[in-house]
Amino acid sequence: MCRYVMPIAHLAATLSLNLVSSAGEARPEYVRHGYFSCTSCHVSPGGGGLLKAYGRMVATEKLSAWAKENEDGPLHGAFEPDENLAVGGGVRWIQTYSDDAQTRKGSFFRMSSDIEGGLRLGKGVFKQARVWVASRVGIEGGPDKSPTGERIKHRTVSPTHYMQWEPSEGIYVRAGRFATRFGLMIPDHSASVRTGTGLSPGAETRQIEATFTTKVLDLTFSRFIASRDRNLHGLWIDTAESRDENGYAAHASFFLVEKYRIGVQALRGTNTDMVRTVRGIHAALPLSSAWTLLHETDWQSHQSKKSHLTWTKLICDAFPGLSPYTWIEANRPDMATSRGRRDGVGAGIAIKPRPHFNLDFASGLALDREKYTYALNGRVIAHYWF
Amino acid sequence: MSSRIFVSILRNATFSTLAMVASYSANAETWTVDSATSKAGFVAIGSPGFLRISGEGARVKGVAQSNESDPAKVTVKGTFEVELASLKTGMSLRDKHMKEKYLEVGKFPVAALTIEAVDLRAIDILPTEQDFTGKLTLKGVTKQIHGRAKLTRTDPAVQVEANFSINLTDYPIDIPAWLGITVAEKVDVNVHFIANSASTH
Repeated sequence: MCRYVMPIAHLAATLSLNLVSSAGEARPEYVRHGYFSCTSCHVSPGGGGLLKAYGRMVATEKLSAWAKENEDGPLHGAFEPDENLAVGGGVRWIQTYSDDAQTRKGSFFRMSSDIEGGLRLGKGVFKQARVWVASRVGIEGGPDKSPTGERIKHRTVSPTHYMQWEPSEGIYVRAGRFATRFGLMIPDHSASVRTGTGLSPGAETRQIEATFTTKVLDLTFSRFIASRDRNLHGLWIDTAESRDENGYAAHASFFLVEKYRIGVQALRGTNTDMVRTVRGIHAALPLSSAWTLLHETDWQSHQSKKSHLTWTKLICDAFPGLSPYTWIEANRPDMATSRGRRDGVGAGIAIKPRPHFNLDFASGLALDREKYTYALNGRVIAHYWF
Repeated sequence: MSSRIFVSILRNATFSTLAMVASYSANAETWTVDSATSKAGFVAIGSPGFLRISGEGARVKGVAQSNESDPAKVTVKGTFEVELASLKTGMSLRDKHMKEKYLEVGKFPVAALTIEAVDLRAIDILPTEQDFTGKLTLKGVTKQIHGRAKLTRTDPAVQVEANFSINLTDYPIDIPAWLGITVAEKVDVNVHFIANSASTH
């Protein structure tokens, strides 16, 4: 029987390098609870990142197994939540494991550590419009040494900082540095649709963005500009380094029969030596009161190659604080051949016993269809959020 | 047509009409809501983000009486009570605020809905829709409401799905607001129940 092998370097790169994101996670599956737009809980219209005071309460109510009132607040409820102030950040550690034909290896390192804050300037300053000013500062995470043994210096960076103007209900305009809104905005760095498009957390870039939201439609247009002060060390396979990319993106989600979220996304980017376009679809489909199916598929054209990325995740939220899930994904960098094709399948469970503490256990199988090798991999993530 | 035949036809028609009226009067009906299968709820929209807040789980009880004075239609009039304490929105802290602070279910445990007239003759085994008017009493204040009901006759019962909207400001209910989330003034109410009939003579 053939064995599939994933290069350890690729696995490590996929999981870890230059990760700063420990911000609140985007939860598109919350469409099940009536949260079509992300702005009820998050400052960002795309979800993820800084949580508002109400968002913290939702995280406690829906995600934690046990909680005291206000325990979700900063410093475990030491002070009363304020709707005009958002505080976030935290620290994450990861233990990885991989087992292939050549080696068996584990690694433990700090994924990220940062603090973030936001202030809403209200009517006294901008009349009826609301303006948020938000920023996140942290120390780059990742192993202390590269796969070749070189020491990695972890810099202090600010991957996210922006000003957001809300002239009226459902309209948001922001400018600064943040992640391009594209697809489901899931926090999983290693998902094929994130790594393959180069838009995973850690790929924040300077841009201006406008979002229009109604009860049934959520529309975002972005203009992003190359941010050449960081280099991602070739994190992705055969894709443009988004950090050096200029371009435009559009994202539309529809809230169907007051229950399902289905959308489309498109991006056109110009790098120093190539132009790429990415188009895709995404969906968050509550199957029942406890089960939600998330899906994203993207088609990418760059140079003469067309690639295809797909990711599907099934989540069960039957018990507060306990969420088992399973996923299946595929990354085809070149649809004309099987070169670089990788498939993955796995399962995991997220445990959130109390506010501020998260544990995530996952294990999967990575198949390299080009080299007919496979590898077992696993991870445990411990997250403390402020 | 001869006058004798005409009088005969008129006499027969009058007799038939009186017989019909008599038969309706003899079979006046009382409809009792099956509380165990009933449910009432609401949908409100929160801001920002057009958050959809659904309340559900409230029980309904009540009685309606048919009125057969008009042979052309049989109207039903009734009063129904909705138990507010059993309402749930999916978030315990939000439920607590809703019941304790805004609805004050300790002082006002039920909302009363009085229906003026629903035409029973129009109801068939296939669902039929008709407008209705009524009065809703909430926190001690009574206001007229207009709604739409879908009714299905499943002898000896009638299945009712009624929808209407209210403005929170029409009642002594403050606009809910908490941690930056406010609720829109207009709230859509839905009531579902099965009413079983018991004929009275």
